Amino acid sequence: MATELKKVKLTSSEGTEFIIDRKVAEKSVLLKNMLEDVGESDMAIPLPNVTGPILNKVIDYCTHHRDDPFVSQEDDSKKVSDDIDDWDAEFCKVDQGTLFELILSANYLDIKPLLDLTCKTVANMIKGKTPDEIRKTFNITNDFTPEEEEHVRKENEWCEER
Amino acid sequence: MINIYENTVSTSKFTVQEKPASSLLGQDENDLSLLKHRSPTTKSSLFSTLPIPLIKKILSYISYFPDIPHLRLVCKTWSKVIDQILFDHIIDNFSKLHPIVATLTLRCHDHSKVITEHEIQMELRTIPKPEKYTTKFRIEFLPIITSLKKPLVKDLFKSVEVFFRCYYTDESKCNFEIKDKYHINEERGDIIETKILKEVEISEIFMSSLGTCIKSQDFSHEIAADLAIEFQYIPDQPMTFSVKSVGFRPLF
Repeated sequence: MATELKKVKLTSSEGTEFIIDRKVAEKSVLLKNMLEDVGESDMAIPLPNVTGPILNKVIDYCTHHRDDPFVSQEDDSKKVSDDIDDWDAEFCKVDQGTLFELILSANYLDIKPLLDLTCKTVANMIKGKTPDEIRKTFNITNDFTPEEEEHVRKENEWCEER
Repeated sequence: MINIYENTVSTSKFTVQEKPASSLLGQDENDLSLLKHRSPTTKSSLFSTLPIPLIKKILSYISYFPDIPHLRLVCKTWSKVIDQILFDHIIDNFSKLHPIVATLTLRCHDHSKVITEHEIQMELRTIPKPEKYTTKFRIEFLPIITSLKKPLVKDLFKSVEVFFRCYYTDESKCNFEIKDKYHINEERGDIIETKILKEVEISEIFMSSLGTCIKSQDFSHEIAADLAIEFQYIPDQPMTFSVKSVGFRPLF
């Protein structure tokens, strides 16, 4: 109980300092391990890979989900992307840049539920789109030569016949 | 409650250990090799900021069929990543399939309209591990008992019907069988008929033959058939694949 009330300082890449409950910080496996290794300390933990606004969003997420059960990395059996609750869906209504930064931060901080959520959100943006629509949505260049593209199309024919 | 102190300078003595970009996701040698070969033409995309394992994770949330195959057309990086996803899925599902026993029945029609039938028990003895990511790889069933008494000489037969049945040794309900008919007196056999039998029992498995590589010169005197089936995976649902080709090689 005592540990739940303890505060943890985090510093974003620009030097912005955030003070949060230890329980919230421990939603990140990276931070949890660091805190366990260091023990009692008032020193801030620098997070050079996470900007202030993104860290703010991450903390927002971890605070909302602070009481959720721990999800292990192996618990990845359900590969569905339509199980996003309303709060999480609202949380992910951000511009593409923010969404991708959240993915990278969730991965860096080792917050599996947030990584799952953000990846599912991107997957939902991909679903139902043609390759051309996907390229336009994510500004991806088609780097296939016409011959290579034709080769891939031919390889796909067998499943289109089904 | 979140307290934010803007622009304060941290005097932290913590050492943040830089983790690789794929800290949460495993990154094996194949992933790394892919990273080295990522196309520079996707740099303008936000996707180019993501390491391969993260792109793989995102795309793994897309239904295997019918979406995944089309995504291979987006760019070279996605094509490679999707091959990885399918590969992992295939290996995972074939591991569940093992052990499996198969029966190959050859119904040979000669020119006098006489039909002779040969049955060969086959067994998938090892789960093959392809050396590279691919959605196509060969599965080899080895004969347990060769009961092929009559040599298959191409000139003797007008055509051969091939019945291939697979079933789990644990007598699970996932048995399946296929029936294909081939002409063997041609340079390259053509499928006359492909029929799924016992469809009810194969709710989780769908097989269909898309081609054959039987060549007449493969049939000689006193051979035992060594069946090799190449599966091409149909990413619809677990354990769904089609026979890409059925080939016979003489053992001796």
